[in-house]
Amino acid sequence: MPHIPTTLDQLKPGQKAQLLTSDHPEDAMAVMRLGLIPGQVVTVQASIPGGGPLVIKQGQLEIALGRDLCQRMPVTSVVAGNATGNPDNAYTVPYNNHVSASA
Amino acid sequence: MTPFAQSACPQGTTNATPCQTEGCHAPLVDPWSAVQSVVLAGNPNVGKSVVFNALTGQYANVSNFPGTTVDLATGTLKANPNIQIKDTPGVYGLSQLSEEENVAETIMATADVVINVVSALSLERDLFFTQQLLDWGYRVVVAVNQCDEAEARQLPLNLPVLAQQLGVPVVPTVAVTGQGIQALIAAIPQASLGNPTPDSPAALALRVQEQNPGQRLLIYGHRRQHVNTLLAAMHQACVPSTGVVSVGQRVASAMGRALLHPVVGTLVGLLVMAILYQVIGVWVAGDLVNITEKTVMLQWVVPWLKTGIATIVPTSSLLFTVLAGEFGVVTMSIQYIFGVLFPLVLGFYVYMAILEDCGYLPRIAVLADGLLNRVGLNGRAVIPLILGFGCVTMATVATRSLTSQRERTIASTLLAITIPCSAQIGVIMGLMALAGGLKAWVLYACILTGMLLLIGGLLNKVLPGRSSSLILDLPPMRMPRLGNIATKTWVRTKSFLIEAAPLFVLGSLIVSVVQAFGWLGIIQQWLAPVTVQWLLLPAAAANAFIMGMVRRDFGAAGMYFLAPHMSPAQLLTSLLVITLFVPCIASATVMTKERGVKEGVVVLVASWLIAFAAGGVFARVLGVLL
Repeated sequence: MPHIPTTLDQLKPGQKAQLLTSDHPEDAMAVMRLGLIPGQVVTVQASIPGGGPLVIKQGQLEIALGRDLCQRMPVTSVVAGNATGNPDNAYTVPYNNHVSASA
Repeated sequence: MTPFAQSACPQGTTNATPCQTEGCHAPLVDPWSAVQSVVLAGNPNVGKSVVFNALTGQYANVSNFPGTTVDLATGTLKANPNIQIKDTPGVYGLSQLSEEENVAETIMATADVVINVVSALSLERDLFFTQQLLDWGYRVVVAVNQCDEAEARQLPLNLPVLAQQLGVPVVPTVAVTGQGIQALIAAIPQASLGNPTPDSPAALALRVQEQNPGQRLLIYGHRRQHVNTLLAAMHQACVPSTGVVSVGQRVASAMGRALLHPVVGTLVGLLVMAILYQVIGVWVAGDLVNITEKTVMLQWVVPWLKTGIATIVPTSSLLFTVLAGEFGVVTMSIQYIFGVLFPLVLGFYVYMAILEDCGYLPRIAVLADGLLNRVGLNGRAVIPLILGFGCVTMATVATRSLTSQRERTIASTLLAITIPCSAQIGVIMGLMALAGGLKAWVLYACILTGMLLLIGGLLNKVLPGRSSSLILDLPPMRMPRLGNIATKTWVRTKSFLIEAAPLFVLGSLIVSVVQAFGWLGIIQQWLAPVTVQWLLLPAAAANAFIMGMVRRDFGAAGMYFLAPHMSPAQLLTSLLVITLFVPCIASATVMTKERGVKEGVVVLVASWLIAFAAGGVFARVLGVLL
């Protein structure tokens, strides 16, 4: 049975994955500022060997993320042919964390 | 020619609805009456300072924000001197996550209007900050900069729709050529509150909620979602791109990928460093500085200064020695700042601006990240470390760009101890032939790299906390543009010299006083036994070490006279000790200013101890090897 990646660092160049909500708020906020939110599908462009970062692509964005951050970033793998190709896909993925009015 | 006509970047203000949320002014009232203070805000690398320069003309005033090391540029609008304009540090948001964000927030509190500069190349990223400004209740005008490049890449842009979505005026600009700046100025009085994120609390309540880390994440997610939605709306309103990718773009993206390939990337990296060495180390630090320092300064300017000072102060007095003696504060400062530092810093900034403008610099950072993680830094630190090979003082200033105080401490310590500056490398180069040529170079490079890894690794273990991970957006590769390079180089060189010049003067003053009172000799005497017995060097080498404090290349130059009397092992040992031993007075002063007196002194003392302790070991090991 093939290994199913559960964090971003396990992906190989060319593979796609959907970002999940991170348990580390600092990480989540830092990548959100650059345009990545949970639910988006990203493609791994490059993975620098020797503990180097991963370069991921999402739409026009190309972002390098340090290896340790990728190890903390949960993903679900996307089967080829599903949720690929359509650049608008990322915008339509539901994101359920809304600001609660009572907060 | 009408800029942007028929283009992907049509003027966006026409469709804006600035009066939607606020009461409109009567048409007869001067639209500028409510505007006195304009603040520029935006992400790093969107061309904000170029917009600032275009708005203010040349007469910007750069100073440190009180109590910080963050630059603050202020000026007045070129067309209307009653309007004050302030620049803010480039930030990705206002969440008090760094000193820069705190400063930006404080400056923005004084704004009547915020000009938010975004890049047409990275709207997905930049509009997040824009939306935060709207949510926080600022009156905003958005300048979409670098529109020409977005057009060349056929990026989907529809600024009238964007203006409608945001609810504020949106003006396309190409700040390097000045296009769109007049329209931007005209749009300032029309700045408006715009459309906040739906269902978000009122501005003041939201600002308070965002202080709370738990709530901040939810607000961020909500805001991000909204920005993505409005971008999707803009993309829908765009004429679909022809899908034809130009040859240039295909080459650029293939290059971008190739540079991240471990083998290709490393080879290109080595080539870039080799060219840097040739251009800066050999041509600028060697040939050009020879002319500017030895001829222009030492033959013309310095003698003229000495004659001038001699007419006021008697040449036999102590004051003359301090002002214009061998290490006189006036003569040495001017000689050093204009004869050495200016050409060196200028040359280095040109080279770095080319690498930055073509999009290569972040890719080096990506390749170096794994290695730098071992010394508690991330890929971003590669930039100050490369700058260090030009001028350690300049590089120490550049450590400000690092994310955390921990990383700044590690980087500035490594710079102070293990990186030889180009002035020093130039002199060392001449001596390496005597020390054994290539073999000596390899040993020198390996030992310094080893020291860097050792000291950095140790600091990473000892210092509390954890360094931040690399998070870096990679711009597409492109041909560097002369206008960008010239502007960046000029702004950086000017602000560095304005900041560093007083420190060089202070450093010279300390040295000239120490020299005038004969204290240099006392230090030399004190150092001599260590030099002879532990480092196995001639006693006179202590003299060269002390000179290295004044200027790093003086120390190495002092070795020229001793070199014929030393074995290759002794020579290499002394060159290593000089490299490790002391940052020059100027860089020690900058270090103290940047990192605080305590840290500055600790690093200085540590560099003495490390240089001498390690030097004794080198002397014995190299004695066997060479």
